[in-house]
This record gives sequence, C-alpha cells and structure tokens, in this order.
Amino acid sequence: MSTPAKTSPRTVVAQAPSLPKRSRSNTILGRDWRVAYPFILPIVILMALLIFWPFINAILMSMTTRNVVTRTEVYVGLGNYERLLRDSDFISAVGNTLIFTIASLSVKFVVGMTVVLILNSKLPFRSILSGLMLLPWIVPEVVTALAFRSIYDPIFGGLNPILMQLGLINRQVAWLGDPGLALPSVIAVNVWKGIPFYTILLLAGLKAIDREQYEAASVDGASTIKRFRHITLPGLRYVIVVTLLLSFISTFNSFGLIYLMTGGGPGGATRVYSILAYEKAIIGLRFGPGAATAFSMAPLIAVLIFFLARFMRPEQNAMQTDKVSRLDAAGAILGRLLGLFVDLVLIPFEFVSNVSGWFFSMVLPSKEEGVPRLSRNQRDAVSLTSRLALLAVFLIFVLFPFYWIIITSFKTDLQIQRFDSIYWPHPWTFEQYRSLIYDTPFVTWFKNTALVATTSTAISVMLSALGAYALSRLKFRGGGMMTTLLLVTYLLPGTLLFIPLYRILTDLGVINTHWALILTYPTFLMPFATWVMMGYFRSIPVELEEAAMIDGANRFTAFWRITLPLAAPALLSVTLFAFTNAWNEFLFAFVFITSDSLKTLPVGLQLLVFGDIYPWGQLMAASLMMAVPVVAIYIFAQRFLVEGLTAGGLKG
Amino acid sequence: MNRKNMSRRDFLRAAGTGAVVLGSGLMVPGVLAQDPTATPLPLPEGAAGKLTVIHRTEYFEVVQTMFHDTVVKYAQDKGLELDISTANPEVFGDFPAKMLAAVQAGNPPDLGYNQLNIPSLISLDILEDVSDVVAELSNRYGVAVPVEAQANGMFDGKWYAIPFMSYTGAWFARKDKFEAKGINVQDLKTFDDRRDACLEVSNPDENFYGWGMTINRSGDGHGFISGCIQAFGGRFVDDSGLKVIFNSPETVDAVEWMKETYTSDKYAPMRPPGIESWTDTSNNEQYLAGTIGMTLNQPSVYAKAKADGNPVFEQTAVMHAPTWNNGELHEAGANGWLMIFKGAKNIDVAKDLIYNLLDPANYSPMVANGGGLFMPAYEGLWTEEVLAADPNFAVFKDILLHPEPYFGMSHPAPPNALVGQIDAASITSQMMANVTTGAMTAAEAVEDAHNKIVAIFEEGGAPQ
Repeated sequence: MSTPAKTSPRTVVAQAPSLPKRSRSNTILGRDWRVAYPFILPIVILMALLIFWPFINAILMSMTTRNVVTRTEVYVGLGNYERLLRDSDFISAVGNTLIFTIASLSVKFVVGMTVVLILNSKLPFRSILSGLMLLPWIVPEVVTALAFRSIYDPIFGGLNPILMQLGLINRQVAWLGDPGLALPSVIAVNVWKGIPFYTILLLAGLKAIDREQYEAASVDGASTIKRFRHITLPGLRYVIVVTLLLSFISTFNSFGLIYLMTGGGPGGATRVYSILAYEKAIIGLRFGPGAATAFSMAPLIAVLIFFLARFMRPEQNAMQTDKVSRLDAAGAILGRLLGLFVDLVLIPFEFVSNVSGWFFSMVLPSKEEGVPRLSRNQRDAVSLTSRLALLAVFLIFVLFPFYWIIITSFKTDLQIQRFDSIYWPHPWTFEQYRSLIYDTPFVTWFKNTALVATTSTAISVMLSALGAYALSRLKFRGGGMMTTLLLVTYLLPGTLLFIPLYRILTDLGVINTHWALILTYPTFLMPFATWVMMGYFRSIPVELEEAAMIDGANRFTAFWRITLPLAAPALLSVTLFAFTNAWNEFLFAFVFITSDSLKTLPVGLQLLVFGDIYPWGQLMAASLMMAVPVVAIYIFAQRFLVEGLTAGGLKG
Repeated sequence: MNRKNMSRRDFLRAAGTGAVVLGSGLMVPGVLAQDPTATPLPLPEGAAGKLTVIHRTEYFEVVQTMFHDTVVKYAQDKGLELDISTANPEVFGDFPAKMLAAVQAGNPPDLGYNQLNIPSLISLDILEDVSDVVAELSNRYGVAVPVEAQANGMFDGKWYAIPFMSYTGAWFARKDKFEAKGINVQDLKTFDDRRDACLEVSNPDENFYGWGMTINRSGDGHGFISGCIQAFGGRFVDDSGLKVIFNSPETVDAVEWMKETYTSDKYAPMRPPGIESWTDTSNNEQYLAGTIGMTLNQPSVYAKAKADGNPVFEQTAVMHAPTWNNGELHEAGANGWLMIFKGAKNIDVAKDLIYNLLDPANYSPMVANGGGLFMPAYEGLWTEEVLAADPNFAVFKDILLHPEPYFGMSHPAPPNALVGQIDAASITSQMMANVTTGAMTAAEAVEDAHNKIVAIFEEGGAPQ
C-alpha cells in the first residue's frame, strides 16, 4: 500500500489522494495507480485467463474449417464469414434474433414499468406482492423451459382449455408448433423470466426519485400522466437505459431457454443466431463456421457494450473530456427524438384519462362547485381496485407456471402420462418427492450446488467490491477501458467458449472439480455486481474516507472499515443476484463436470431424463425443492435487494 | 433511499440466515477439490491414472445400473481406482464436442459408451484403433451386427469403435384402433398405405389422431423425411458419398407428398395439433397418452409402455419400415459403441473391461432387461432366451440381422462425416418448414437445401 499507515497527520494530508503529489508515474498511470492496480488485479487476472484468452482462441477458430476427407484443420481466413452472407439459415436466424430481442424487450419494459408503478403506489401486502413478482427469477432455465413446454402442449397442456373456456380460442392451438406462433410463444416465456429483472431495477430507480418533486407537481396541478412523463421518466432515464442495454445483450444471446423449448423449430421459426452457432459448432462439430456465426454478431453487441460502459462510468467520461463530444451531441438529439416519441405515445393515454374524467363528471351527480364528485376515500378505492385488477392480470401470468409445477409434482407418473386430472392431482402423491430424495443423488447435487453457488458468489462479490471501488473512486490509467472490458464477457454466447475454456481449466488442473465452476462463474457474475457496487460507492461521501485517512488509515483500511460497511445493502443485493444466477447455472456445470458425484442441481435435473422420456413429476418436484433456499433468502432479504440498488446506484 | 435503514446487525442477520439456509452445503474452500459427499460409489480422489468410464443414460435405469455395477465390480476385483459417470446424449447433443475437448486437453476418459455418429468422431481423429478387441469379440461371439456396423465403425480397414449393443427404429401402431376399422397394420406396406389408413382411424372429436410422424427438427423427424425421400427414389449423395445429388425430380416428388400430408385439408383430421413442433419426446408422450395411432420411433416408446403397465402396450404392433416405391425394403440397425479415446491413460485395462462387459454373465441380463432398446451386437449372442423375452423381439431380430446393408442417408454409399452433418444442421426439416409455411415451393426448397448441403461438403473438403 502506498500510503503509510502511521505517520503524522501533516504527512498524511500531503499524501492523501485528494492532494496528490504529481510524480512522473502518476502523470502516466493516473493519480491513484498504486492503490488502484492491486484493487483491480484479481479481476484482471481472472478475466484475462478465463475470458480473453478463450475469446482469442475462438476468434482464431472462426478462421478455420475441418477438412473431413484429409482429417486436417485448414486456415480459411474470413471464408467462414463470407459463406454466412449466402446462408439463408443465417439470414433468417438473424431476423429471428432481432424480432425475439426487440419484441421481448418492449414487452418486458412495458410490463415491468406498469408493475413497478403499481408496486410503488400505496398497496396492501405490497412487499408480498413484490416478492411474488420476483418468483420467475428463481426458477432455473431448464425447469422454465420444461414447464412451459408442458403448459403449451396443444392437446393436454394447461393453456388451451382455459382459453377455450374463456372463449378466446375455438380450437386447440399448437403454440410451439405453428410457425407463426412459435416465436411469440417463446417470447412470452422470455418475458415471464425477465420481468423480475426489470421489476427490481425499475423499482430501485423509482425509489431513488425525490418524492418532493411529485408533491410539487401535484400542487401545480400536473396530471398523473404529466407527472409520469416529466418526473418519473426523466428520473429513471439512467436506469432505463442501463436496464435495456443489459437486457438487450442477454436477450440477444439467449440460448438455453429457446433451445430447450423448441430446439429452434418448428423448421427454423425460433432458431436464433446462438442456436445456429451451437448447431454448427457443437452438434455438427463444425467449430470454425460455428464460431464465425457467433462472432458475426459481435460488432453489434460491442457497440452496445461501448454505450453501456459510458453509462457505467459517467464521471470517467467527464474527466476525459471537458467539452461536449460529438457523441454526446448525437445522444442529446437522440434523447430529444425519444422524448418526442414518448410524448406521442402518451397522447392516447392522456386522452383516455381526460375522457374518463369527463365521463365521471357527467355520470356522477354534481355537488357544490369546487368540491370533488367523489370523496377522497371513494377515489382511493376506485384507484386501488383498478391497480389491483391490473396487477392481478400480471400475477396470474407470473404464478400460473408455479401452479403447474406444483400440481405436476404431486401427480403419479401414470396420471401425467395419461394426462388424467390435468388441473388437480387425483389422487395426490408424495411419491415423486420420495423417489427423488431416496432413489436419486438429489441430496448430493443439492450440496454441490450450495457449495459452488456460495463460494463463487463470495468470490464474485469480493472481487467486484474491490474492483468497483477502484473504478468509481480512484483515478488511474486504464480505468475506463477496464469498465468496458469487464463487459466483454457478454459479447458472445458462453456456449462457444467452452472448448478453449476446457483446455485452460485442464491446464490449471481443475477440470471436473468444483473449482472449475467456482473460477468460471465470477466471469459472468462480476460485471453486473461491479456496476451496482460502483453506483453505490459513488453515493457514499468521499469525505468519510478522507477523514479516516487523515486519522491514519490507509486506503485499504478506509475501504474496509468505512466504505464497505456503508455499502452493506448493495453488497447484499448483488450477493442475492449473484447467488441466484450461480444457483441456477447450467451450461458450464454441464460441460466442466463429468463425475456424477460432483454435479450440480440444474445438471442433475437433466440427468433425471432417461432417453427421450421425461419424468415430469420428478423434474417438477426437484425444481420446487431446488427453489427453497433461494426463496427463503429472498423472503428475508427482499427489501434490502431494492434498497441496495437504490442509493445512487441507479441515479447515474 | 436512506442507507441507515439497514444496520450492520441487519446485514449480519441477513447473511446469517443465508448461511443457515445453506448450511448443509457450506464448506471451507480447502475441501473444494474433493468429493464433498459420501457417495455410495467408490470414487477415490485425485490419483492420476485411475480408470475413468463415462456411459450413456439408458431408457431403462435397471440396465444403466447393471452397466455401472459391472464396472464397479470389475474395478474392485482388480483393485483399481475408478471414476464412473453418466452422459445424456439426447438433450444438448454435445457429447462428441466434450470428448474432443477432453482429448485435446489430454485427459479423456479411458472408456466411453454412447450412441453416436462414429464417422464424425473418426474424422476428428480422437479414437484409438480397437481392431484387436473387435476381432477377439467376433471370435468369441460371432460377427458384429447389424451389417452396417462395419461401415460405421471402420475406417481404412481398422475398427475405431466397438459395437456394444444394437437397436433399431421401428414403426409402432395401435392395432386395436386399426382392427376396429378392419385394417391389419402388417398389411400396410407403403407410405401411401399407411397415410390412408391413419386418416381412416382418426377421430379428432375424441382426441385420436392416426398420424404420429413429425417433420420437425428431431432424430425421428429427420429419419422420417430422409426415409420418405429415399422411398421416392431421391438420394443425398452419389455412390462415392462425396458428391451431392440431392436436387432431383424424385426428391421434389417426395417433398410434394409430405407437403400434402402436412398441409392439405384432406389429411387434416389425422394430424395431431402441434405435430409440426414435436421433438423426440413428443411422439412418445402422445403415443403413451393414447392419442396417436402410428409413430416412428426407437423402441423406447414400446419399452416404456411395457414397463409402466400402460394399457397401450397390449395393443401395440411393431411394424417394418415402409417399402420404397420400387418395392424394395430397406431397414437399418444401429449400435451403441464402446470407445477408447486417444490419449487415454489405461488402454489395456479398458480393453480388459470391455471383454468383461460383454461376458454373457454380465451382458445377457442387460439385454433381457433392455425392453428392445438394448439388443445383442454380435450374432452369437442372439440366443433363444433373448427371443423368448418378448414376442416382438423377433421383428427386431429380422431388422437387425438383415443381410443387405442399408446406410441411411448416404445409401448406397457407406456413411461418412459429411453426410452426418446434414441432419446436425437440420437441413431437411428446415426444407420442409419452408414448404409447409408456403415460403417456398417444393422445387425451391429442395434447391435451397441442396445448396446448403453443397456448402457443407465444400467447406469439409469435398469440392462439388
């Protein structure tokens, strides 16, 4: 550590970061480089080894093909990329990916925003209702896919009979079978799974908006719509952009959910580019063309990552340039256009709002001038009922799959196979749970998952906290680039990194051990955690640390004793995020672990499948039991989850 | 937000609760590399050179357990350390890629057992020459069956994989439903016969549909499409196996026939809703639920019905494949393979273990319990006892011991890795989707598919 721990106050002041001594190395490497580099070193090592090196490997791979006649690897330069341009499958896959992403994002945003506005209002059982909206988060992708496949089944699934009884359809609809419906149906599942992410982030963003602004606007007579347009939306600007960008990248690279539901079919109706790449590289063993397919979309994602990084480290950008750059100017124009668009979208809502106001004034008996036609209580009741009614629609959407999972887990195999008693087990049986616990290694998988998830979460949160502190507090060369590089992990589907990663993990001697997962999970857990922590650290007054350092603390002690404890809510919320993701991770666990005794739950669930027969009852029982620890933590820590994200982290 | 809302005590309490909830799994990092649980299996840790075996999950758990127990007992008898695991080849289809990575990383398992496209693995150069083992097994138990085993497992006169078991796809039909309409399913020889009969037995009002073959991307779907194309005289490649001749009037005729089957009003009553999106599991589930009359599948559907006491089992007839339009019958069997990977540390032990696995004392119980999914891979192991286990095993024997080889998509050329990539790229199912959605005419879709196959062949070193 560069700052001595015990010196006279005068000396410390002279060495404190706020009053730097401009040495040559400081000029070149930035004011705080001595402190910053050790802070970010662990992240850099991990990322270099487990992301950048396999990444470069994959790029080189994309320039080769395998000549199966001579059994040799051939260098073809950009040949694989050129071939893509003539590949009708590729063109349709890119189209599917864009439709999937844009449609899914739009719906998630609108639903998320609506839900959040309701949840942020006065509501009975608000925290329970918020908790329910977060439930899809905890369900592993494997289970989500299987549950929805079962629900969508045209003949015996749960959806068709309900819609028929409601008179919405008059024949059995093949949700995943009709090429025109398959993509929308898959999008609906992605929306279902994605709502919690939007709910949490937008809710946290809303809480960060000063309530006085609303009160002032109300006093000035601004309507609800106007308050939303001119206070809520601008206040959420930063969180909306970051949420949408993060969500765009992860939705764009979606793989497991779609693959498990449709395999890309019917025909190629749901084949997104990641599935096409997987199909070529992993199933067809054409690694070069597969890698090229995956990398073909990298430029688009790279542009998004560039913008995301700018939002993630705003003060760095401000430091780099004092004058408004062309990019910022373009951003401002874009912002104004977007504002115009939002105004246009809101016109009908405002119109409806005015008309309903007028309607009430006509229908309800007039009272004295200046006295509202409805009493405050009546108005509150109408408002509450309408909000609850709207929320109920979303709740049904969110909860129905859980109902399906629960009842299926209590049916006998024959009931499931014969599609008897679809909506209610008859008779109920605990057989699935019994056989799961006694006849399968479920308990072993459970312990393995707990071990891997806890350890990788602890490592991720620790390294993120260190890195985020350096990136948000300290000035050093490479800080801006580092923020961007952190996100490179999102650049292409992880499925294609596994061949080079496998080799690296073998060289490290950790393949087929839990360390393989503990080391690789942070690569996708850290970027988000770092971002949240950075925002939170920014909101903690730097003076507190400076005071500590004047009193003799060094930078690390100040971080450890002052800043970190103050950031406890953020630590807890990123811990929850990281833990949930690690708990449900499937692909790396599937690839890097071969010994049955070391497997984790999501992979174990898949092991329950024998051939092409699915043991639905056991699978559903397993997924319920798998969700218990995560639910338990969420129930307790849910309020901190939002709080942790709120303070400054989402203000920008 | 007020950060003081959460005190340090709150945080500790939250963390503590989390720790309690996870208590069962919390371990200190020092033991991470070790097996954290007392498993029922002897899985010693760490020592280099331990015997590593990875085997496929079986449809019948009892067969899988027998395989597992045989290996465990072998290791115990020989005093060997053992790591034995399962791999499910069906869901993500990444077993070969994983093995490639393991070979390249220098730590492959010693012995693998799976049901794979061996020419692809040979082309990747990751398998050991095991000709001596196959020669010894043939010496003990007769020639390897089915007859296609040789074309699949051999390259340049050497065996690179050992046939371990054999199986075949077959057509399954609900004889009760057909008999009710006066139809004997065994009389339904051609694709046309079967389609018409399926229409006749269909009754959508009662949720019963005759036709249970999908054209969606799946092993069953691809098998149906290519079988139909070949029945009409279409071919994927010429006799060399390296030149694509897919685009032909015969192929277009077959595609037109399938288009009519899957889109016309005439055949609508026999098509179960959602058949366009079926995966390999869907037809099984539908058949077991009693909603479809006929399907093309591995015997898993038959075996599962038998095992669960499902009433459809008694009413199930096993049928041969449809004859081609020229009257010929072509049926193929396939194998589950034992493989020794290049760079394996215990090759001799693995070979000895293979002999042990195929010892009738260990092998016969697996066949007897395999429900038609695990049939003998050597002629001499087809005993009377095997045939007595199930009346329909005779049909499987007919198919598996046929004298004339049928090489599937590459026919009449022997299979090769390039042909294997056609289905991996889902080209034929995409072609059918292009036709059934009206995006292309049959001729256009065939031409589009032809071009994609050509691209794969050229990319793989077979210029057209």
